[in-house]
Amino acid sequence: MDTAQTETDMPNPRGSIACVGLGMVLGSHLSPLSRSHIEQADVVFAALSDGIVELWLERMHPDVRSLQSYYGDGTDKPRIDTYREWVEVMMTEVRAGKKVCAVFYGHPGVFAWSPHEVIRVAREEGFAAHMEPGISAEDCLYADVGIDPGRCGCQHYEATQLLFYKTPLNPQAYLVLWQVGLVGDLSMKRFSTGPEYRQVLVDVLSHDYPLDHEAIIYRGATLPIQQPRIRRTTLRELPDTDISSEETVVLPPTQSLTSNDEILRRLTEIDRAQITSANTNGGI
Amino acid sequence: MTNTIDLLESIATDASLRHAPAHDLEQMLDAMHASDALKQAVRTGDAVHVKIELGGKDGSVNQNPPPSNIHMPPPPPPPPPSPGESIIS
Repeated sequence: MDTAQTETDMPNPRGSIACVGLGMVLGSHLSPLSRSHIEQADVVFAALSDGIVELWLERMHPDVRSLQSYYGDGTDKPRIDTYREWVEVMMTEVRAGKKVCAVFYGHPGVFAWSPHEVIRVAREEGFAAHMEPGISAEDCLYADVGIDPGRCGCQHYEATQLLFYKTPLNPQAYLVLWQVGLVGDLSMKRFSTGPEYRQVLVDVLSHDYPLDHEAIIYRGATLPIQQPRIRRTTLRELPDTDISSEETVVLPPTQSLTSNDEILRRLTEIDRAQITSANTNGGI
Repeated sequence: MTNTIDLLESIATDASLRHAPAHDLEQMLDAMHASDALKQAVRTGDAVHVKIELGGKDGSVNQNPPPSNIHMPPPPPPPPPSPGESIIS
């Protein structure tokens, strides 16, 4: 019996997309599962932190397409336009029935709009879509700076959010500010802003933090021959300190945790009631 | 000369290399026939030497910031009318 199927008998191949994280350091952070997604894809798109990392990725797959060029020259194109183009170019391949892998540096779902959006669009159109986590800049920060977010809490904000929106801060927890190097960019086109913009940020932060409070400026490594860079200054000095777009600012807590005596009493009463109940039942 | 990308991957996956002092790493790279650019990058801590060696290709966040959350600020309020100017255009 002839079991060969004609092309019209075959089901239409269904496209899919997996957004994976490459981690922060070339070669050190890629998970086996993310590598498998890359190797099994028909097409790989890449938005990476470093051109060398992109070269390394190209060794894993013959068809790696960089998304960097969509930024243009970085002078007059709103970044949201770039990110929408990324979604469209990826979805074009998914709709064509391709198995697509989109590779982002760090974690694909952290401070990244396109991966979430392309997964939403793909699922809405009936395609399989999946996100595979990666080691993020936040993860590296905890290790390199020595912060445990569970100790007294940790709040993260894209720095510009604090300027565009009235955002309550908790000075009892760590404050981590991302993309301070381009804080306050109303145009959404620039890749850096100057001291005047950082001064506005400092003015906002000074409502909750004294100006002599420590500010830690952190940049993680992206190549295995690099070490993280950690600089310490004060909030007052922040405007006059050069901060690049890939650096992160951390403000340690400025207040101690305050015990909630009323709730503690309530919890003690619950404990006592449970012990009493256990003793009564056990005594029968 | 050993391929620089291969060596970077070797360093990235070997704990004794990844966290070796720069001087020790440079000696190890010398024994592994690494390029001068890679050894110079290790010595100086500046990856630009490797970028030049690999063709100067640069898609880094130094020029292109990472994808960020999209914040849509409300449009700025219109400027107040200057004295004598009608607010009705």
